[in-house]
Amino acid sequence: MCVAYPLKVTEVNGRSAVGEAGGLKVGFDCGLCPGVKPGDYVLVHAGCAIEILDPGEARETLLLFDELKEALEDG
Amino acid sequence: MDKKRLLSKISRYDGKPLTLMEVCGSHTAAVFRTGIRNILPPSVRLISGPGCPVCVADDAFISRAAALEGRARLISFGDMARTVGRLRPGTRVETAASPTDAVMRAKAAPAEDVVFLSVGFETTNPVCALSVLRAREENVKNFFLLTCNKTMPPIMEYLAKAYPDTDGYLLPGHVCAVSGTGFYKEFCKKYNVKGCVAGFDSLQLSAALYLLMYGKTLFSNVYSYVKEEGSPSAEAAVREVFEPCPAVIRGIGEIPGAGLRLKKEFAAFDVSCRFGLPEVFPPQDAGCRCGDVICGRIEPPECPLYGVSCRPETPCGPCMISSEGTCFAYFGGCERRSV
Repeated sequence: MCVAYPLKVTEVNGRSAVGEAGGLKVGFDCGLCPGVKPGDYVLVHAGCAIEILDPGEARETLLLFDELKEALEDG
Repeated sequence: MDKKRLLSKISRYDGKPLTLMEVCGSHTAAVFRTGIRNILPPSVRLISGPGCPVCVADDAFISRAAALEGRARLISFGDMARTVGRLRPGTRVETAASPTDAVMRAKAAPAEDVVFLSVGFETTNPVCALSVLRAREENVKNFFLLTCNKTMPPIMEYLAKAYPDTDGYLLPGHVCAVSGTGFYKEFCKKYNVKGCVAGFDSLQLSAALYLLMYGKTLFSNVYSYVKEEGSPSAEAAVREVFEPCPAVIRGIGEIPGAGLRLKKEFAAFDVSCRFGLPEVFPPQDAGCRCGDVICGRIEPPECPLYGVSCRPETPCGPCMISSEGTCFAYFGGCERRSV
């Protein structure tokens, strides 16, 4: 039930907004993320944006830090 | 990203035996769906935790919901609606993608009382809070919540104390996207256990499992959507509308501070204000071992009802109904793909 997905915001009209992912347009409620604007990426759950993502995050989900880099590099 | 390399390391793990718990119901479904559970070596035991909000909803909540049949229009998320409908035949619960939709339905039908069966952990709690704020803003007076919302930290504390044999936790990505990682970092230190926050695809799961097996740091986060501070505006909505209360977790019992109830200033949206529901505590199905399944103490087939009287078509408990329930996932309800 805790499934959420990232959308790129294309339109904001008051508390309702439209976002896009993979060519699909999806409407969502932005009441929990005041200040959201077109071009932002948001995480949407149950029809509502619950978090504004940092730019770039929406495309690459894996956070690479040293221990993980080592695992991927040393075979 | 070279997922194959991570998967190969996971499958070849030969260190000390590990018991790892996936806390979140979406992770339970994902470890089956991605097939990643099948590549784990025998020395790594992956157990399910109490993170499916539908599965941990207690019988009293379900009975209270059923008691409203005929008196109010009931609406909830799909899994909760199906669970109430299956366990209390004759109770009709409409589904809604969002509780804010339920507010709009209430607004469109002012002569009816609309009750949203409000379940969820940190990911969903802000959305439930938003529905109440929306109902107040729109002056919708026929919208009520029957709350069964919960918060993860007191439950994690319970698990760590009750089951100190757990070596590591796969931590819920979307819960942390809202709450942030502060609690979990402290938790890992306090109980000297590993924890890794992860998303829900096979790359995320393999990175997290790799770190839980081989990693040197106690706490890690591999999910870029999760910031240390979480989502302050979503958290603020929850704090505005709800306050902590004791929660009864199916199979565990009462955990202080693990629940959320509406604050006094929002009492007009509390279902008990409108209907004054009696407390109802019906017994659980005799022999159903939900509690042990929810805490990862047993695997579903060890429950005497599993696969016999309790099957997806004739479920005895929510773990067999919810799409994120351990028994449902175990039964093959999740399509298996190879990682």
